[in-house]
Amino acid sequence: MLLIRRLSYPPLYMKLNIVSIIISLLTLGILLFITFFNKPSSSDVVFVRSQVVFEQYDGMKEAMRVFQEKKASWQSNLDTLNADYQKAISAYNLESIKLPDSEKIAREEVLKRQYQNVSKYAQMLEEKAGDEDQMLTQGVLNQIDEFIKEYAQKKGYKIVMGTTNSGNVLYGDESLDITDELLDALNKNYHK
Amino acid sequence: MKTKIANIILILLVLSSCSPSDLAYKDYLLYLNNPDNGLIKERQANDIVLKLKYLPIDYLVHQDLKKDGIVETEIRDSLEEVYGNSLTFLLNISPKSGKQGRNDNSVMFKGIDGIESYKNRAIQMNFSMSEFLSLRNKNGEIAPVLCNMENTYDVSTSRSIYVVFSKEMVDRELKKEDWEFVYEDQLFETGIHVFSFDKDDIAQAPVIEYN
Repeated sequence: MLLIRRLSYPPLYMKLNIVSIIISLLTLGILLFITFFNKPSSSDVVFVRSQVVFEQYDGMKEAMRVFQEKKASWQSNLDTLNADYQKAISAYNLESIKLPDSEKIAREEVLKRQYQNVSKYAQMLEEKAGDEDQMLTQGVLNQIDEFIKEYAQKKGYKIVMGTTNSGNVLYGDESLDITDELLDALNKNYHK
Repeated sequence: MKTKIANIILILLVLSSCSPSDLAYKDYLLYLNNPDNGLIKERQANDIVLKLKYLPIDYLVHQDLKKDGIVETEIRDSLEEVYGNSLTFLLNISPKSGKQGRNDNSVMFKGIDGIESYKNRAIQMNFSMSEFLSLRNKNGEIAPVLCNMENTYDVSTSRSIYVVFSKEMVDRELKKEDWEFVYEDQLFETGIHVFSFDKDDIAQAPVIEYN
């Protein structure tokens, strides 16, 4: 009787063992679930090597080419003005011995004005080159910004970070680096 | 029997690969404005939308005929000959955001810091756009022969510019190959834009069906 009773109603320590096994299995199951099915998405936050994108973007290369061509043209104009001024100086130096004083003063006045015009032109060109450089660069940055916005939305990225020389991103796993794929898509879009 | 079936399949394949030829005007416009057909391109940057549309000869002829209510074949043919000497594009510049219809959202005022800036912008868009537009490929680069900004009388926040290239210059300098339309923006800080056109897309543009 006692034996039957013992077999029908397991003792307390056996009940506790069963309960602890069930709890352990449940815990293991939950941990497995978290590990394999509830991983944080690897595409939520990605980063881009900004300098690489900026330098290798076809739009930037084109902007640099256009800027260099314009600069060369302006420099050529300035060189012409300089050459004219130097010629005028050389001519004055040759002729000044024979010239009366009044004419010497008049010629020197003309040369002074010519020099001031050349200097003013050089200064104006420097400002113009600075403005042009800034405008072209800003245009490129605006294009890249717009593209990254569209690209991130299409790919489902929540944040796209940019690395800079000052170190906004100190480290990033290679799997989160989307520089090459972004640059490829950006350049394809430029020539679409 | 097998040969017959193969021939039927071949004919069906050939027929299905043909692009639409004659289209009613509404369908024609849908075709032109569908980016998949390669005749309209769009770029966005700095809150500005740039849309470039190629205007086929048929479209330009129809616009002329519609204006005068004429559908005579002879007049149509002579207009086709006239427009056939050029390649025409429509470049539309519009604000991306902001309340549409409001004058202060107009592209003419975007980023303007005073009357001098506005004046320069108006002058450039009306008279100097040809300096910043071109068609090019590996064979060369040509400037437009005509640029004309549409007068919207301030009822629109966007501005449209007709850009016309000489067909003869295009064929001579660019040698009938695919080309790129280039716009070097000097006004809106959107950079340099390159729109690529496939000559096959241009050639396959349908014609308008006249009833």
